[in-house]
Amino acid sequence: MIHDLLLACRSHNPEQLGIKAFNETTVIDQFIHPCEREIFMDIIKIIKVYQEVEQFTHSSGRKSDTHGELPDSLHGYYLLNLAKGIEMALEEYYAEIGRLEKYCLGNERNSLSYVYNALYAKFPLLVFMRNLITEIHVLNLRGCVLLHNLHQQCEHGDIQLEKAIKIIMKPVKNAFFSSLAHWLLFGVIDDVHSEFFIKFTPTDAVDGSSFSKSATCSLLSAEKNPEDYIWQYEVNMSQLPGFFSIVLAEKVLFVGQTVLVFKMGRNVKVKNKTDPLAAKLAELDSDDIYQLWSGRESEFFKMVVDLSNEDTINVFRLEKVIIDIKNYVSARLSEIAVNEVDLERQMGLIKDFFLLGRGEFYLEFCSQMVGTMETYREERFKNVTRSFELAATVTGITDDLDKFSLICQRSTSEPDDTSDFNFLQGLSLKYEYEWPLNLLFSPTTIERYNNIFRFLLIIRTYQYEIQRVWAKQTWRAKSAKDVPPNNKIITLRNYLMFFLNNMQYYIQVDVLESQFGILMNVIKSRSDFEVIQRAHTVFLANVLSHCFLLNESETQLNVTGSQNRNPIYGTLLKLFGICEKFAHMTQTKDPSDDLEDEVDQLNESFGVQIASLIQLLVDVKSASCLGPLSQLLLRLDFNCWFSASHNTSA
Amino acid sequence: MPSEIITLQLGQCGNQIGFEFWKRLCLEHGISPDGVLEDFATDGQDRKDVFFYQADDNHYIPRAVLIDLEPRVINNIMTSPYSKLYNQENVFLSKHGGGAGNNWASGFSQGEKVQEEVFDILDREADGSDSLEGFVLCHSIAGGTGSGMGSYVLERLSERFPKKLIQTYSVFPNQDEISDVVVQPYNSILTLKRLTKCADSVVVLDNTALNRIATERLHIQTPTFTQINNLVSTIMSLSTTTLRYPSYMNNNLIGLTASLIPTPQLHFLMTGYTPLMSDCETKTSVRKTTVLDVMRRLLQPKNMMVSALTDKQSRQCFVSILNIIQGEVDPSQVHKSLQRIRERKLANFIPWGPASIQVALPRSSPYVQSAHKVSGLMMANHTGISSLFKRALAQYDKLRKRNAFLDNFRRESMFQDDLTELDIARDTVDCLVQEYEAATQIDYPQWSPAVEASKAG
Repeated sequence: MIHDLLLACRSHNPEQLGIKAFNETTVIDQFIHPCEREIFMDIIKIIKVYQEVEQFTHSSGRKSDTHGELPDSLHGYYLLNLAKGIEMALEEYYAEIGRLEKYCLGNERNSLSYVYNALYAKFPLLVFMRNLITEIHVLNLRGCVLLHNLHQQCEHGDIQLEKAIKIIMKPVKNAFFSSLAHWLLFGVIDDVHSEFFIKFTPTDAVDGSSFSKSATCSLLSAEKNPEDYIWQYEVNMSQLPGFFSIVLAEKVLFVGQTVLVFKMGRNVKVKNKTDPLAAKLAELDSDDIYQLWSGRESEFFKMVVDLSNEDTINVFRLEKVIIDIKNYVSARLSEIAVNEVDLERQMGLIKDFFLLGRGEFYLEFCSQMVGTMETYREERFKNVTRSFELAATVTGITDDLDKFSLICQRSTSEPDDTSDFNFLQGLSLKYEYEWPLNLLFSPTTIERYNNIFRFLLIIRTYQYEIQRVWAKQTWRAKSAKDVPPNNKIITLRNYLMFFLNNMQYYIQVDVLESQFGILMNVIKSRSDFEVIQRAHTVFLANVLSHCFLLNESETQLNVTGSQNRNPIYGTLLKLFGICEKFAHMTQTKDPSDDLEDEVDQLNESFGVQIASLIQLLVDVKSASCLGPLSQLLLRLDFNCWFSASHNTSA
Repeated sequence: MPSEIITLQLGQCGNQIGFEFWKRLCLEHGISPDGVLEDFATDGQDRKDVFFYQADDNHYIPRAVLIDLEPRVINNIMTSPYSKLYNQENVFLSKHGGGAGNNWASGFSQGEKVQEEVFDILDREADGSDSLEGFVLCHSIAGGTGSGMGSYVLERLSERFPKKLIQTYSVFPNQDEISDVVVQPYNSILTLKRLTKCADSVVVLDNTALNRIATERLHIQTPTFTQINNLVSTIMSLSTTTLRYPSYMNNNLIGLTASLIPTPQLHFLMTGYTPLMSDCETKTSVRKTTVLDVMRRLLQPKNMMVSALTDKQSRQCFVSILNIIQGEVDPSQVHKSLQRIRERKLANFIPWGPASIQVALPRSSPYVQSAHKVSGLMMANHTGISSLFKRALAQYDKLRKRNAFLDNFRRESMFQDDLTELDIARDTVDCLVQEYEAATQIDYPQWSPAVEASKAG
């Protein structure tokens, strides 16, 4: 009977046949003395717990070995390793069973209580493991979070259990650290079940199915557009273990992306070679990674291995190792960026072209573009790129401009809308950054730059047109043949010019110049690359918010529909609309008879809009102490004209 | 090469200040006196092509036309180290070389006679540029050639190039000393009429103020022409820095002037410069300059290159202000300075429209070292400038009442029959003064000369 019992203790039987047999038949009544029955039932309880645990290790462990097509949520690398760990922890229990069996074979008479006592010593362990498993099942834990769960149990008061949890955690931890090392040192994620806290999200749905199967395969296909795929890696918040702070995770992401960028450098170089031989490629591969690590990868690898060899996860050491690696990588990167690519110059170019720093070039571009504005819409798109190139040739800066090119997207909204505003909204600049600046210029960054670019270009174009109106009217006033232009038109023109000039001044000098100065100081101080990257992000965010573009950054701007947009931006758009109408109205060859009425209307709506703009700025200013907004307010309302005229009309 | 500007130098004064201006430009762009780019200046990001063009052998040649009726000043230029700089074909000297005898009428009629030759040069220059933006004319309004011939050239220019901007740097005579040119009031009024009618923007350089600044601020007992001209060339070069060292804005002459001149007639600009420093002062202590300091000083009348009444009590006000500030400038300082100026009400603005102090922060030439951290130029449209015209009118009326010194005028065909031209010119200037007066009132946008005339009638 005891043999049967001990046998049941070790059975791999998924149907719990051993125990069932005890329960269903009357063996207990027949063979066990009533006073021992209680003990027997307790043993069965222990066995039941064991079997639950065993069932988990059995099912998770074996089935994923066979690479079955099971839903990912049930299985994964970490669960498999957990099963392994539990198996290892169970060894102790197995040893005890083995000892009991030997003991029973050796002795004639064995008491059930002896068995019970021996087994009961292992009961907490089994219960602990069962609870662990239940928790994992109930919370549906997997991947790195699972490790975190184990990590939390680590500080267990019971020495026996603490030992056990260390054994259980070891394989899981090893899996985690090997993933980490792969990512940190080689930029590779071999993470079929997306369990690591950094994940690769394919952007296009077409390739999505193939991506989900294997991250390595996605890596390969993503290399088709090597510039962008590094941005598809991101921190997977749902898998971020609790002992890993977000800041740290971002550092890890940064290091991996840097490594990827260095790998990319190889691709670019190979493209330049005439015959990309496979041997050469491999050679270059090692070279480029070498360029980054310069022989120190084994050192860093050892640091990570040491971490994984420790019994528990030492959060502080982990943090230190990651920060060490990150510091090394980013220092190396900024060295390259500043020395080889001349980051300062690149940023200068960015300022010159994205931020319209080259005033004379954009002036020429405006004059070229406005000249062709009248033509048929289809041709305008062709002409505008031509204007861009022409302006570059005329101002003699083609060398600086070779990294930039102008692209027009046709606005999808209204195909027959020919307003300049929508046309300008369709323009964007393409910038071919130098390797390894990929980390600074992600597609979203470029899109943000383009947002600022379009905003500035709109102001610049309208300013140019209003100035043309000024010149035309001034010359007309000079030649006595014409009647002098209407005072109302002149007044409105002055208002518009004043508004545009101050708007431009505010953005270009108050916002851009000062923010850019801050960024350049960071770059000049030769700080490490991550600091530069952060300063760059801050720069962009500040500029966008001060240009009232922030809510807009994701979507294309358009005139209609203004629900969740920055109200100031909405007002600005309306003011731009007035500028455009005015410029068109006064520049047509034969002005219509009701020109004056139209001017009156525009004048009126300008008054309303500018008053509301001033009001908004005043409100914002009093609500918070945002410096730049009060700067714009000061400029626009320097002699209190707009605020005063608003008061009298209200 | 876009937005080129052709410079015309007329008469003794015009050629002198023009000469100083080109010297200064050469220094700033690193161009040697014979037009060769210095080795250290080869990779500059400046735009030399606005004022210069390159000859086949890469020499830089100024887009300058030198005109005079007497050879003295131009000969001086042509014997200076800078003689090779200019295009010899662009120099026009009258054949008789007798000058205009400080007579406006003589200058005007001589201009008429030689116009073909002069406009051949101008046409050639204009054709040689891709997209000419305008002309800059340097002259004085008191003498004969600069005022008389200058007036004639102005009239023809605005006719022949109706779509080009015409800016003048006009030197107004010194009121504090007795002029040796007795007909100066006539000359001034006649020239002022052309400046009002034909020019798009006039930068007024008042000799009275220039001399005052030289004696009071620079402590020179008897300022020489060179010292005065040095001041003028500083102003001229600084007012064009945004064109030559382009940054975000004010990259062309139109952009520069459009915001300054809201209505066509009010186009007389005054300038101010700080910190002023003479050669002897460089050795002594260098003053600390900040943006606020510079911007505040620029608003003080004593730094203004026009001796006009600008005290706070008067109704006179600024129509517009553009400050061009160079040096180590942090943009946030500009904002703070603006705030202070507004709080302290240091500047009085027009009551009929929005106005503010615009500040341009151009890059400065790396080849010219300044002793000061910050220096600034103000270009302002101020109604107070009308006091200058009033003064000229008063002097004119004094002479005209007696019909004094008109014999020389009567000798020319223009004034042979009657002197109506003088009266028309006086009316024009008077109307200008009235418009400036009206610009201090809130109802200026409704103002028009016709309404004013009917009121008077």
